[in-house]
This record gives sequence, C-alpha cells and structure tokens, in this order.
Amino acid sequence: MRKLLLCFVMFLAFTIVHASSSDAIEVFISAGNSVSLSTTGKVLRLNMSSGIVIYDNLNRAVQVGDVSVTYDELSRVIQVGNISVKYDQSSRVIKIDNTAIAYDISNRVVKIGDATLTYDELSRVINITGKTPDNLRFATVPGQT
Amino acid sequence: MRKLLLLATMSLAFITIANASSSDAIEVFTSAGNSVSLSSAGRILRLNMASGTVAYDISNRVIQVGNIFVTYDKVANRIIKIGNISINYDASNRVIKIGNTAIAYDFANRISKIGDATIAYDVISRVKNIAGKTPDDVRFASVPEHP
Repeated sequence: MRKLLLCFVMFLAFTIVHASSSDAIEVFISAGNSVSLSTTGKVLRLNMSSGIVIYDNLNRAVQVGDVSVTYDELSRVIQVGNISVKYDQSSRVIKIDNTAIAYDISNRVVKIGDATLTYDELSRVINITGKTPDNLRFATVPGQT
Repeated sequence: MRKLLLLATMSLAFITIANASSSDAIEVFTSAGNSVSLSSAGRILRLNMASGTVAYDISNRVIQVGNIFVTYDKVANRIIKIGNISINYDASNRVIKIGNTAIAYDFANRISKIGDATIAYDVISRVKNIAGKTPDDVRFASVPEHP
C-alpha cells in the first residue's frame, strides 16, 4: 500500500513538473512578433512575422526584431522591450507588465489577467473563460498529459 | 580518416535536419486571437490562445480550438484543415501550402519561405532574419536556443 502511495506521489510530482515545463505565456512585442516565456522565464519560442534575431554568447535571444530582451543573473527574462517580467520566490512568472499571472496547486497557469484557464483530469487545457489582454496569450503543447 | 570525416558530416547533417524539422513551425491564426503552430509535417506543436474551448478526440488530438474545427487525414494523421484554411503537402509529407500561402524549404529541410517572407539561419541553424513579412494570418515559430 505504501509503495502504491509512493508511486502515486511520484506520478503527481512528474505531472506537476511536466505541466510547468512546456506551458508558456506569449508576450507580443512589436511588428507582429512575440516571445513565449515559460513559467520560469525562459524563452521557449519565438513567433515572428519579420525582423532579425540576435543571440548572446550564452545562446540566448537578446534581440527580436527591434525589441531587446534582458535577462537577470539567473538567465530569467526580466524585460522584453518596455515590458517587465516579475517573479515570485519560487521563480515563477507572476506579473508581465501590468498583468498578473496565477497558478493552481499543480503549478499550472490558471489566470492571465482576467482570463481563467481550466484543465481536464489529464492536465490538458480545455477552456479559457474571459480573454487574455491583447498583448498576452496562453501557449501550450496540446494533448500533453 | 576519410570515413571519420564522412561520418562526422553525416551526423552533423542528420542533427541539423532533424533539429530543424522537429521544432520549427508555422503558426496559423484561426479566430478570436487563437492560433495553432504546425510542424512542417503537419502536427500541432503548440496552441496559443486568448480565449475559448479546446476539445480533444479519443486519440488525444486537438479537434476544436475556440469555434474552429481541426480536421486530420485518415492515412498520415496530418492536419488538412483548420476551420476553412486548407493545408497541402508535398510528396515528402511537408507542409507546402497553408490557405493561399506557399511554404518553401532549403537544402537542410528548414523552412526558408513563408509567402513573400524569406527566413535566414546562421551556421548553427538558429533563425537570424526574416526579410519581408509573413502574411497576417501566418507566422514563423522557432525554438530560439538550438543546441
């Protein structure tokens, strides 16, 4: 019974880590370009219409189009152009510009501003009620469990 | 020595092609600020959403994003339609047309053109420039930190 419980806890831990590793918040910057940030402030994807990308010697994108990306000493994004990114003590993104980001007990993004995200029992996003601000979206790998 | 060089070249080519084709994507805007990022093989890599529901089928495939339906072909499990936007493939199973927008690839199987926009890469296959502009409903999506 204890082994079963341990397995369940390990599965739960895996689910939590898994959920937090790929979900992202997409930040629109300029000229139709955007940057998808993981909940820990890493650039997961660039979505681009036009413009250049410049990387630093740590292989981080430091310029996307005409917008600069700034990192802190932990390699977390802290500024995208004039949009600032704030973190809580667990290194999770909790504010992008003026928009608050909230998480549930499984470390999943549940609120982006006034928009509320709902997940099914497999941790797949199934609904976003309300609407995220114009410069932010929720980004996820679909069907991921 | 020549065999070693050949092996190294083949490995590099394989890594470059596999890497480029597995993570770069074409993002298709659907409606209500939502979009779907498709791999060059027609798989959904990401959903980017502002609002609405997502529905899955029993095979764990996304079949609805907001009020837009996603349709797959029966043979290769590729997406062939997103709402009223058709996706077309070449004989190598690569996306070559999304709606009216043509997609082209370079010798390393990397996306090199989306409509009139031309995509350039550096020596380690990181995107470094998009000259011109993609159509309003299609963008290039990339993982910036390639190994």
